[in-house]
Formats: sequence, structure tokens, C-alpha cells
Amino acid sequence: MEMNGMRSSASDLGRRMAATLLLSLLVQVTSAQETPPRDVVAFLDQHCAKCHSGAKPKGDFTLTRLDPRMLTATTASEWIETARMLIMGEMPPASRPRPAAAASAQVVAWLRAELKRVGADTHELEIQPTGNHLDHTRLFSDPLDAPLDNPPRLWRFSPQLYFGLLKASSGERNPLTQAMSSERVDGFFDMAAGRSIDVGTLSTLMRNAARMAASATVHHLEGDKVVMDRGGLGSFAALLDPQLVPERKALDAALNSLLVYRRTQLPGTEEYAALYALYLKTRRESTAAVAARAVLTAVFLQPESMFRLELGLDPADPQGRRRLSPAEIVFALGGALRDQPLDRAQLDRARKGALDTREGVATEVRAMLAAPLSSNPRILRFFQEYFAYTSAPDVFKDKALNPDFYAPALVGDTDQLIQVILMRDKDVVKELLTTRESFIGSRWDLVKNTGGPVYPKTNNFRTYNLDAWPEGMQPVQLPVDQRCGILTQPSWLVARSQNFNNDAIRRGKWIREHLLGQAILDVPITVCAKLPDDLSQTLRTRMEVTRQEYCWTCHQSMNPLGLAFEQYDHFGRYRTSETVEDPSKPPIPGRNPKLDPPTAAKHEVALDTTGALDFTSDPTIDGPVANVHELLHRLAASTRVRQVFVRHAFRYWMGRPENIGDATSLREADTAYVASGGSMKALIVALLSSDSFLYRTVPTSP
Amino acid sequence: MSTPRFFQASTALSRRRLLGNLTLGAGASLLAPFLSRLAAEDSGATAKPPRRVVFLVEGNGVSAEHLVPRGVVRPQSSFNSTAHNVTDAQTFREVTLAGHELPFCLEPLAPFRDRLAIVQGLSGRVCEGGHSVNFGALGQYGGQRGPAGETIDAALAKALPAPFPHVGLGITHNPNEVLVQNVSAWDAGRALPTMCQPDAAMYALFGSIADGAKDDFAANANVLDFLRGDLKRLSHHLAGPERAKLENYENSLAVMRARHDQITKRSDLLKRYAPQPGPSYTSLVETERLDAHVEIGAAALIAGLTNVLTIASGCGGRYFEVTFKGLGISIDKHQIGHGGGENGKSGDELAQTIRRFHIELMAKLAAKLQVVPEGNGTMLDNTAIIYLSDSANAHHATCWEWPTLILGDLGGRLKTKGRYLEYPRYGRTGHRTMGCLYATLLHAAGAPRGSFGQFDKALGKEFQQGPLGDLLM
Repeated sequence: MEMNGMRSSASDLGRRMAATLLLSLLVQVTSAQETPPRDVVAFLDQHCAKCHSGAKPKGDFTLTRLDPRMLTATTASEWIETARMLIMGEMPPASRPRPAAAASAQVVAWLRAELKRVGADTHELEIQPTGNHLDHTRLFSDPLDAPLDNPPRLWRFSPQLYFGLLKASSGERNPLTQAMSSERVDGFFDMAAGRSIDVGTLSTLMRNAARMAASATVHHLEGDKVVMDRGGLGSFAALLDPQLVPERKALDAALNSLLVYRRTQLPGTEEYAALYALYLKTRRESTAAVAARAVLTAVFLQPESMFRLELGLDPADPQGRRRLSPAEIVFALGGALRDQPLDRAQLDRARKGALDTREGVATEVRAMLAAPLSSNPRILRFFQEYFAYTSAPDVFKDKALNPDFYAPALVGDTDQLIQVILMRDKDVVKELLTTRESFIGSRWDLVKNTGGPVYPKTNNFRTYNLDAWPEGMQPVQLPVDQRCGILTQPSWLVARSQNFNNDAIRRGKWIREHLLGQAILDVPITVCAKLPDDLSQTLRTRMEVTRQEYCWTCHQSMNPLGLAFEQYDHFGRYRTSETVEDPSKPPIPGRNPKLDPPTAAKHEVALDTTGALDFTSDPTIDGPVANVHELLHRLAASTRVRQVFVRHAFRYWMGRPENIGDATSLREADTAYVASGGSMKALIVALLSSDSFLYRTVPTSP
Repeated sequence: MSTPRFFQASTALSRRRLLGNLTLGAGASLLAPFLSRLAAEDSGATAKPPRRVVFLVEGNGVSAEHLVPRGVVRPQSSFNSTAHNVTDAQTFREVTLAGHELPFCLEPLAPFRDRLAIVQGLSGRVCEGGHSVNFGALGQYGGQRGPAGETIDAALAKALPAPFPHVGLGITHNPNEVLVQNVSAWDAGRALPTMCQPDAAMYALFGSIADGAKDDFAANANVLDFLRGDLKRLSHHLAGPERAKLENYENSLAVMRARHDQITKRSDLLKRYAPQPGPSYTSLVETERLDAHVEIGAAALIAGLTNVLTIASGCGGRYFEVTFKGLGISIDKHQIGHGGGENGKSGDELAQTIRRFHIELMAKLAAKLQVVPEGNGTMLDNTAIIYLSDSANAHHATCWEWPTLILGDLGGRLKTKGRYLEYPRYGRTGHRTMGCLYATLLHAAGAPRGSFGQFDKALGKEFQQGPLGDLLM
């Protein structure tokens, strides 16, 4: 703490002057207030004034600019931004001592009240910190005081679910155009927030819907009789009859045969009536076949065909929460684990009450998890998205520099390693971070075709520093100093590398966000983030530019973590020295001087793998590390790291970042994981039977 | 075929509904210009021929040297990441194309030499670099940050509305790719699609008149009307941002419904100009698919389906490794970019072969527009075709300079009549940026802006503000 007065300097003086001025202003203006703001002043003095005062304030922002009278729009907006920073936990930065949550909350409460008193628009402060912005201790240590906050929602289909549901419903055999794009949000692709149907997406959906409608109604006439062709849905034959206009019940029967209509209890007679009207109107204007296709096209474009509806259709409980209906739960479970829309047998069980209790849901989830991993593809996908190693093939590597390199195989190796760890299902997080086992050279593209791993004659084993293919069954044990969990798998390292260099910054950022659960601001839009290109220097030396004060505020949270991974080159190979260009020697001509450009001469320099765990909020793991091995073992032993993993699993399976109302669900999930000896299955069961999964809270605004 | 009576009635009804009581939510920015245009058409206020802009974007770098007319000596430069100083590029220079033969790559444009401007020396450092700066090329912002803002083709689409505000066509290294989002963005976070399969693009644009599909297209009006009413079932369950998702969907349905009417009105034009799909529409050969895209894109412009077309050839960091087998080349652009050659040809020679093919496409498109009468001239008179790369001037983009071609004067608004323009290099007095060029296009399209994209912090604002006076009429 800097406020104890033990140190005295020019900046301290500036800080004190700022605080004094602020205090005097506050006393002038707020002396009539019921709650004196001295605690607020003390907070600002302790946590803000050191950086935001003096001749060169951080972020060009000084506290004395904050007129507590808040009478102008400018000062009000600056106070609002100050409050927002506190709410979101962005200030003080991770490298500074953390204020107690209650102290921050007190300041924010005062600010809200004052801003309202002067008539400022405070809607920007009606935000809840979520995800990594939410203080970890509030979730796992502080008293539980916030109710569930989980409104009814629409969750737009993932690309996989869209294909799964629509193809299953329509019997479509030909490839559809994927309409559901997805970008990573909070580290995952399939998140609910903000995704809707824009014009471009709708355009593609309409084309697919028309194609599926055509497939499902493909038929020919034999005399007056409609005969469905291969792929056509027999239940629609009555709607295709050119002579007879079908009664409403024929349309009801056809619609009830569609998978999309077996999902929720929403569709009712009213909706069917509207579809029947659509059929009749179109038939009057065109033919029976066009009318039938119009109805099916409409069905495939209804919200149920593009959104997971999680409305909470059961009656409200005494706390005002509404449970998902049995059909909603069945669809939510299918979406959570299987990209498959619906298990008809499960739906039948649900309608008989099997899912009416939490234990009933847990039992159903356990039964789903008893199936092979391949039946629940969203589990492996969680790990693929969490560790994000599957993008390794997207990073271009010059084959001339390493002819043995084949990135898809590296991804396959990690896929298989994770599956083995999941099959053992013991101490999963620790194993993921520390195992020295590995698969070597599997070919995921061939696995797909043959149903089992294939070890082709590529020389990918060299990426793992082996001289030959390993004998016997895989996974194999690699030397203890060389590999240590997923973060030392070549796939993970390559996915976080540049074309010709390591990327220590992104590696450090990943650890900070995914293992320590802390937020790092995005690169400011004004920063041209580029390291010097002088390849005669080590990466560590070239990264020295980030030690400028402006950069270091964020980079101190990333660089010391990522630099421990200098143990590997940018192909993911273990190394004991670092290769850099040697400008003192002439370039080496290409083999074919006409076609191949010359390359720079190179030489070896000493390798430095030191790093540090700083500002982790877990004092048991803070401190310097000698190498990546020490770094990862220390992380794997941390309670906080385990709980942050649980938080990420929560986000993935809920499709949203956690908020403070999810604390109970998170603690129960963590407890289940620990009690089961580190079982991923136990963690998933706890998440998918939690209140956060099963309940929706009534909207607070119209 | 005359329009059935029911259809006319429902068109009028839907238009009134659209113009009158549409809830403008998240889709408002898309709807507003389009609806204004509908209103203008209804009042008969659109007598002037529309202006059209086409972007032909070649992936992974276009060398400035490939665009220099024979006999013109470029200022010596050493643009690279460590030393971008130059010795002889301090003043603006103009050369008339009439006195020079076009270089190998540009020879196909010889018939259009007097409509062509070659623009060199503009920088785009805000895009940073890489194999592609992706959306940054047309957006002028950080190229590795996804669709971080509006791109110039989208900005022009808003200014030049049509049933399809923007049409994106293109290819990637994967012949089976159907649809990617790689180069155009409506605004931040809202990428626009590039349709990669010509047959799919054909259906999307001309499906309304296709045999066996036109009755279903007509029935789509009923389907869209049903869907808009159907959303009411859900809205009372939802609040706040969740209800906004539904409203956004409703807006999209409204746009599609209005588009349906517009296309119906144009059915005669569509029938007249729709291309006949051939084997190239499903070809695995890149050059053939690109050729088909040019044919479809030209037809879409001529039939009035769109006024802004982007053709993206292997654009985007994930899609640029195209192998141009149709040109007899068996190595991909990545290997060529790293100096790889084959069959006795250097990497640069192969790159020139590929470049010339793209210029042929540009000439082909111009020729198609030139034969369609419009006003007192032809469609080409009201068009500008811009050619550039998504990776500026190099395989590994550094964006110190961004070679660009402009064919056509956009209805007399651009000074592009046979000129070679060389802007002073980065930081020199008179230097300008790609953002200025894009601002120029917006001025010419009647939607002037002071600047476009992000500012380069290392450059003074005087380099980056306002249109290029040398190009704007």
C-alpha cells in the first residue's frame, strides 16, 4: 500500500495535493448529505490518486478534474466512467492491490446516488460485471446474497445444431449452406448474447428452407394418387394432392411429424391455424405443391428453427423463478452435449415426469454421459475451444524450414490426449496442465474415415524431439523436462505463435484469462502493436519495447507468463538454445539462385526460460519461475485455477458469462468436481442440473 | 407473365406497412436508406441513372511495380518494415497514359486506357499487416481485429441502395467453400458474406425467375408475411436485449419482403439479363469460378439488383492460398509469395500471370457494362471499378503503399481519364492515405465524409483528411 506515508516523493506530494483538493471539494458540497463521503475520499486516495495525479497522470486523467458537484455533463460522464471502471473491475489494474469488493461497492453506491441526485443519466451504470470482470472472491468466498438473474432468452443455433436439427427434420440429403456464422465471444463460439438473424443470414436460411421444403415434398403423381419419392415425408402427401383441398387435421398431422415441432410446448392450435391459412392462401394463388412447400419453408424459418427457446414455460415458483418445461429441458440437454436436437425417448420420459426434479435431470445427464465421448461431441469441443489449439493449422509455417511439420496431426494428437484424460476422468484439470504423456503423429483426417487412429509415414515425431516413431501403444511418456500438459503440446504452442516466431504475449494472455480468470484490456485501437523485426535479437530482447510505461501496464500481466514458453521454438519443438540471425555473416544463397531467395545466416544464443507468476490473487503461487515446468505445476496446484476452469465450463454450457447470481451454481459445481476426485463428468452433471441451467427469472422490464 | 392480382394488392399493402409502421431496431441502419429509396421510387423521384461501384480485390498483395506503365520510372524506394525511407519520391507526380504502353499485367485494359487511373503511393498503415489485412483493406482499420467497422463497399452500399444493397462474390483456396465473411462489413461486428459458389449466387440473385422456382418465389411473399405475424407468439416472453433479437429478425424479414417486391418489379429486366449457368458455375477450377462470378456480378448490376459489387479473389488470411490451376500453375499463392517458382518461371513471373488474369476479368466486366445503354451513354459511364489487394503491395503486407486501379469516372465525378498518379511517399508533404481515397469515392457517390477509417497516429491529420483533390471532379 502506498498510502501509509512511509514513502515520500514528488509524486506522493502530487497525490496528496490531489486528494486534499478533492477532499475539500467533497466536504464543501456534501456536508449536508446523510452519509459523509470520507470513506469515498479515502478509497480514491488509496487506490486511484497515486497514478491519476501529478504532471503525467496515467491515461491523461487526473482526479482533480472530477468536480464532485457533477453539474456539467462532462464531469458527470467522467464520474460515470470512473464508476463503470470500478464496477467492471478494470481499475485499479491487476498489478495494483485489489480493493475489497465491499469498499468498491460503497463508492459505486455513493456515485449512483449523487449522479441521480444531480439528474445525470445513469443507465450506463446499470451493468453487472460478468465473466472475468466479476471478482472471483465474490463468486467463491463472499457470503451468498444475490438471487439468480437469468432472464428468458433466445439462443441462436450453433452451426452444428442448425445442421443437426434441420437435416433431421427435413430428411435433406444434400449439403445445406451453413447460415449460422459464429465468432468467439468470451473465448467460446456458441454463446447466446447478441446473436440474431440479420439480412445476410436470413437470405441463406431462406434458400436452405426452400431446398429442405422441396426435398421433404418430393413426389410424383400416379393418376390422381400422390406417391412420395425417396426422401419425401409421407405425412405431407395429403397436402400435395392436386385435386382435394386437405382438411386442417391433415396439416396438423403433417406438422406433428416434424422434429422441429416436437421440441417445445409453444406451438398450439392458433399457430397451426395460421399455417393452415398460409397453405390455403398460397394454394388459391398457385398449386398444392407450391402451397405445401410454402408451409414447410415457413416452418423452417420460424424462430424454433433458428433459436433455442429457453423461456421457462413452467409456472413461477415462490421466488418468481420459472423452470424450463420438460420439453425445453430435453432440448437444452441435447443442445448442451450432442448437437442433436432431440432424444424422442428422453422426451417421452420427460413428459412422464422424469425431469421434474433436479436429481431426475442429473440422472438423465449421467445416462447421456455414459455413452462414448463421440456421442457427446460438445464435450471435446469445449476443450478445443477452451485451449484453442485447433487453430494451429491456420498459422502458416514455411515448410522449407521444417519439412516434418504437419499441423493437423498435432491437433489430432491433442484431441486424443484430452479424450484419454477424460476417459480416466480423474484429476482432470491437473492432468491437463501437467501430463507428460502425448500422442505422436495421429492423423485426424484419416481417423474420421477409418474410425481409428492412423499413424502414417510422416516424420511428425521430430516435432516432439523424438528420433523415430515410438514403439507400442500410445499415448507415450515423454521426458519430464520436455512436456507438461496441453500448454506444451505443439498444437497449443503453434496456435499461439507467429509465422516465424513464438508469441509469448498471446500465451501469457491466455493463461491470465483462462487459468487466472483476470481481464486484460484489448489492445488500444490507437496502438500499432508490432515488435521490432530485428531477428538477430531474441524474442525476449525484442519484447523489451513493451516495457515502456504505456505498454507495461498491461504487458506486465502477460509477458512474464508467456516468456517461460521460450523453452520451445515456434514449431513447438523443445530446445536448449535459441536460433537468431547473424548479421555479421553473409546471407546464404538459395539452392536455386534464380528461384530461391537467399536466407540470413544464423547462430545459437543462450536460452532464457525464466518467467513469473505475479498479481494472481492466489498468494500460494505468486513468485518467479525458472521454466515452464515450474510455472505449470504451480498453476495446477492452485484452487483458484481450478475454480476458474469451472467458471469457463459454466460459460460454455450455459452459453453466457457468469454473473453474481450464479455463485451458488458455481460453488456446487466446484464442490462436485472436488468431491468426485476431479471428475469432468461430475462437473458437467452439476452444471446441467444447476439452477442456472434449469431456471429463468421473470423479465424486469417490459 | 403478368403479375397476378393478389400479388399487386399484397405489394401495395406491404409497402405501406413498411414505410409506415416499421419498428426500427438493430436493423435500422440497414433499412433506412433502402426504405428512403423505396419512397423515392414510389414518388417517381429517381430519374437519374444510379451510380455503381465495383471492388475487385485480389488476395495477398499486388506489387506496385506490376502497375507501372512502360517507360515510366518509379521513384526508388525501399519500403519495408525496418527502413521505409525513400530517396526520390517527395512530390506528387502525374503521367498521362496516352504516351505510354501499359505494362504486361495491365495490357487487357488497353481498350479502356482513357478511362483508367493508376494510383500509387497511398498508405494504409492503420491496417498493420500480415498475409491479408482482411476487413481492414476496405475498412482502413487494424487488419487482424475482425470486422471492426464499416468497410467502404458497405458505406457506398448505404449511399447507393438497391434491392441487394451489397453483393459479395468470390473464391477461396477451398473449391467447396460456400460462403465466407472475409473482406466486407456492414459495420462493426457485422460482416457481409462473400458467396463462393457461382450456382448458389445465381440462385440467390436470379432465383425469382428460374424455371421451377418462380412460383415458389412468388409464394415467398405469403411466407414472409406469415413469419412477421408469427413472431408475436414469442415477444411477450422476452424483454430487453432478448426481445431485440426478435425485433432484429423482424427487421430482416421486412427487408426481405421489400426486396421481394423490388425483384418482382424487375422481373422483366432479370429475365433479359440473367446469365445462362454453364459448367463454370460448378467448376473446381478457380479461374472458371471467378469468370462465372464476373458474369453474375455484371448481370446483377445491369438488372438493377445491386449498385455495389465486391469480387474477392482469395481474400482473407485464412483463404488466400489459392492455386491457379486454370493458368497452368501448380503451386499456391503462398509459395509464390515466398519466391517460389516452377517450370523455369520465378515467383514474380507467376504472380504477374495471375495478376493479368484478374485484370482480364476487370476488362471483361467493363466491356459488359459498356454495351448497355444508359442515359446519354452507357452503364460504364456511371460506374467505377476499383482494383486493389487485401494485402496492399506485398505477400507480407506492411501497407506503406497500396497500389490501386480505378476504371470509370462514376458519372463524371472522378478524374480518371488515362492518368498515372504517384503520391509522395509516407510522411512526405502531400502524402495521402487509402482513407482519403475512400472518402473520395464517397464524395463522388454523393455521400461526402471528411475521412474514412481510422487515423494513422504516426501521420499528421493533414495527410488523412478530405478527399483526394487530384481525383475528385
